[in-house]
Amino acid sequence: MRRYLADAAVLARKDVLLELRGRETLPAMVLFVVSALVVFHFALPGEQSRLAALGLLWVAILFTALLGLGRAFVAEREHRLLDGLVLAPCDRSAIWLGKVAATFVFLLLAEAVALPAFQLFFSGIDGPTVAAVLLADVGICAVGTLLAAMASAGRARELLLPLLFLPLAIPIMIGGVGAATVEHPARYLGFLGLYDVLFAILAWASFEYVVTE
Amino acid sequence: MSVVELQGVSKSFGRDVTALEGIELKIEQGEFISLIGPSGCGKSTLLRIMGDLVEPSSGRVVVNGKTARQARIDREYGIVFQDAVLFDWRTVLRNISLPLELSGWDRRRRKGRVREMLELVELTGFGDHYPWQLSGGMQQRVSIARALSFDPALLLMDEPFGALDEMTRERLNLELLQIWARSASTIVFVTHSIAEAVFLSTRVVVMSARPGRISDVVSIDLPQPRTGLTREDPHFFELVTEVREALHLGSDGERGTAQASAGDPAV
Repeated sequence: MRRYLADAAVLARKDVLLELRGRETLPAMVLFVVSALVVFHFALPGEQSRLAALGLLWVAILFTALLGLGRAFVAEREHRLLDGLVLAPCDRSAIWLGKVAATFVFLLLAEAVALPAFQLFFSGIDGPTVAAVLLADVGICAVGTLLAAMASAGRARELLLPLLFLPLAIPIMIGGVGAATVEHPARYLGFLGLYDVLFAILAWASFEYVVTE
Repeated sequence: MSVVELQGVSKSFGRDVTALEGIELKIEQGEFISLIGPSGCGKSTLLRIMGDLVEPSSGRVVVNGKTARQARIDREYGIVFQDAVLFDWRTVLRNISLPLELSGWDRRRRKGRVREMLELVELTGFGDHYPWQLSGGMQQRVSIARALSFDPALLLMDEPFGALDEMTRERLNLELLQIWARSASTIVFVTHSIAEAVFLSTRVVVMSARPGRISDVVSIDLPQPRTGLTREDPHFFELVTEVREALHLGSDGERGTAQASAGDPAV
């Protein structure tokens, strides 16, 4: 188990280091999420409701995540290193875990800018919303990384990833918006947690099949 | 003990495409095996099954006494692809040492091993160069050095010289034989070239297409070490002819079966 986590950590570190050197994904995610919030700010009427604004926050987060997920396997694809990655002497699910961890870090950093920006443009963020965002990130990264791996092998990968990801992200939207808007968010947070566990297990178990077929 | 043992290996993609069917093959320690066959016969798929890059639909794959998966985790084999697949931002030295870094070798041990590898592929003095400063042939030699750096029992090569010109290819064939002799590893080599397969191998595995099957195995009894003169040996031409005929027989057999099926009123 220790070895497994160490392998995943090495792979995640590789992606974080590549990003630190290349600075291609994270700046794009931050710029996108802030731009989206600015656009939403001007798109909504002056007396916009908090509920509508929170809905738009979730739309912005989802599409920002999609941007990051779309680049999850770009380094390997561009340098034709997918085979090399799959040949790594470790359990293949560790590759998935490493990619999930790296994407999670990028998404978290983008949100560290997005949430204050949301407060600035719209309204305050409460604890349940932050908790929902964190839980949603886990689900987004778990499912999205598997789908990104599937899409990276295909020809129309830019089209394929959103088409596969967005329907599966609907429960995340429901849970996230629900947790952020109701008075007692525990049920929605529990729903998000359940989604995370269920889809993380499914993605973890099927990653090897996806990359070897 | 066989280095590779394939028992009844088949591979299908979806319901309609059977890439490989009933593959039985044993590869012994120190052999140089070439897989040859028409395009789409599944020779690369077979190599990728040995390398645990593709899961067989049925059958058993044993590499050095282990499952292909365990062999991958234990680094029992190295793979060289048609593209050298080197990291542009790493020097030759650091490209070769990458698998050793991942395996946790200390810096001193790594340095010694990389020096040995550079000598093996005759690139001493190029350690500090970057891949883009090397020719295609030199890059492929770096790739071979990297694959051999952790001393694998088996080297899998998927058309490694396919993108090179004929002269470079012939020179690299000679160099590969020298590397094979010095490293004492077992090599499985995928190629389209009959002459290349005969020149390099101890056995040539001839495959037929759709579905990919082993139609013949030709033993190559040309004396070792092989040199440029080997290509002018009459026996070399006899063996080239034998492999060519085996290839034609394999594909004619397939065509015959297809024609028989097409002409069969019951079909």
